[in-house]
Amino acid sequence: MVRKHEEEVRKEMRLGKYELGRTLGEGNFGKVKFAKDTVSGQPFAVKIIDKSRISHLNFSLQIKREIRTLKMLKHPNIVRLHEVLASKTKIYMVMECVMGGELFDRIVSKGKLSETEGRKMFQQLIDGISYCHSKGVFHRDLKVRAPHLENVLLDANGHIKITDFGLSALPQHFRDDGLLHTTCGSPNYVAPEVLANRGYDGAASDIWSCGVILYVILTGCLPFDDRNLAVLYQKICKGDPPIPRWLSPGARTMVKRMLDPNPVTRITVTGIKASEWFKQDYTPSVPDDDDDKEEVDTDDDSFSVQELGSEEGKGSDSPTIINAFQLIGMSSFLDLSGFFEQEVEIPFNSVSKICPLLLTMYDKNKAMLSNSQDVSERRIRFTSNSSARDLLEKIETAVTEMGFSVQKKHAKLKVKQEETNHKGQVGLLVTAEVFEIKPSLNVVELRKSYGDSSLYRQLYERLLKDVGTSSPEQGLVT
Amino acid sequence: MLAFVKRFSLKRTKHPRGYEDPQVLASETPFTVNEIEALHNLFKKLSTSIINDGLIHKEEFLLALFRNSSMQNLFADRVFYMFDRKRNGVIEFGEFVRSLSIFHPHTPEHEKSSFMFKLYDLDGTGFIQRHELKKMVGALLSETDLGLSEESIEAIVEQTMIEVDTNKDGKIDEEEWKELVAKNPSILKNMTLPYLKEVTLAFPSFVLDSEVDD
Repeated sequence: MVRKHEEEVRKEMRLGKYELGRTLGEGNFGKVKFAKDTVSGQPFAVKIIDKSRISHLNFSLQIKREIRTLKMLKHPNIVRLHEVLASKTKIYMVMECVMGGELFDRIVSKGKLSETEGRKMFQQLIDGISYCHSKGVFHRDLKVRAPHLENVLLDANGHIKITDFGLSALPQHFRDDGLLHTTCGSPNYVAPEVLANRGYDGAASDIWSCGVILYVILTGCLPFDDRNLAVLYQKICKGDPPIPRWLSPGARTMVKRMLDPNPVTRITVTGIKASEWFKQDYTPSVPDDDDDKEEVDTDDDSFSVQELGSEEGKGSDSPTIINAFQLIGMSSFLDLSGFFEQEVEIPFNSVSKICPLLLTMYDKNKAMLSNSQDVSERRIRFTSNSSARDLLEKIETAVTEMGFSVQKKHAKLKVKQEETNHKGQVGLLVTAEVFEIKPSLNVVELRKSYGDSSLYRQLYERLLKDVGTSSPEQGLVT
Repeated sequence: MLAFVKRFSLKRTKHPRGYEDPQVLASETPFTVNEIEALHNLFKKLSTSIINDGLIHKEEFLLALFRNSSMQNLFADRVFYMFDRKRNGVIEFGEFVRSLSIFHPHTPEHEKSSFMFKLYDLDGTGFIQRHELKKMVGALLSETDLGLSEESIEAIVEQTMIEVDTNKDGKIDEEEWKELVAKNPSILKNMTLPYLKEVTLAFPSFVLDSEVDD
């Protein structure tokens, strides 16, 4: 045993391109170690899972689920999973390294936070959580203090990072009643409906846990606490924690509405985001979905296309006059993304289908649209007979009317909606580009960098109506 | 030393024809051994979707990419042909990995450029000839319902030939192609798949049966 241990220490110094360092923490399944990418110098935290310790559990599904879940979550307030490595005996999850420490330590060392500072953290927490919910992922185990590992962290800039989705539920956990089953989470933070082991709505119980965290942030104490577990459960199920009078009325209402023992009447993410108290000094976080694609799709490389051949095109609105190879390159049959896309982006649609409770959060039309949509609709093209100049103006007018902000460069528009809308959906970033095939025949290409599919579709339909060629069949989706 | 390594049941199923050791593939491509194991999960899925023989047939290739196993398309044919390096009508695991590696974000541009040149050189003459270009423009237009007249197609091809065929011999050689790509990097857009940087997350099953020694 000892010898084996020594051997591990020696070998664990190096893992592929990573150099492993000190142990940051220890969980049920193994250690978390500091790691440095020897190529880029970037720091990471590597969660090391010993397969022998988990072989007796129904672990294979769980680990795959956790990896797939984390893969989808690309948000500044959520700890990012970069890569997974494995050997015969171990699994290594290479995660974003969060250097600032734990929210809990911050509260312990500084006491409660001021309401302004606390709200800033709370806004980030809600941004992260609502992003997860929009992807069909529920955390269910949010807490400031856990036995081994924290799961609400602070980075060096004091930004919230949510981590440890080990117990997070994906839609597969829903039974026919559309409610989550299995209990998890640490008692102080757990919602009454979870304790009661009735099926529950993951979104609502995450709100409860966020309510507990908000309480801790603002007061420095737990809202429900007792050494006797039975008494603690009683307190939780009764709700109505003591709320200090020195909290502002806005904060008091927020805490009360979040710690409503009835999950049906409990405030929702939408409700939270609409409240005046929450909206104060609020800057929404922008998800970094598909930032890798961004490199390929919307970097300056493609901007340089304009400069091709015609120098006079610079700075004007003249579109790219298309080269035969660029035209050919538009073939969907040359795009091999299909190999990978079917594995991605499953959850949101399936939530709408599987979970009736959640469905009420989105309107029916949207759910239907989502179901009928194919994942590869991120790139849409249609033709137009308008002149390029007209076309760009019309697109600009249309998207401005729809409430988007527009950034213009040559024959290319970046169309953005940063604000989260009333349904709590994340924004949308689309690039619209005009290619001239011949005079009075242009192709408009829309590329979605990230954001809500139904909003994207609305944008496309509006543009097709305003500037597309008369025959609607000419809209082509590749 | 191996005595200390805890052994899991290593009874592996016999690998089909064309399987190659991930170690070897990793040494020849930008992928790590784990990434190749992850790609093997993808390969297994693709190669058993219609015929369960561990080889990707044309129909399986089309099904995976376009959800349709019986479609006809010039470009799809060309991509399959390029992946099928041994030209025996099926894609083996090694061919699959080596071909995909060209699409890796870290693969040098010149490799991507050369792959694409060969893909467009329909007759395999070492040149992209005018009639090949025209055929491809035609294929694209029929795919997209753009409804361009014969003259418009001719005009687009003509304009491109004037621009690219700088030595005016009526065909595009690899040097001319390279110049075109240098001026228009976006032509290689299809040659990079950002997904390839995330294969371990996309196909995580490999973590359970990885063969990598500790």
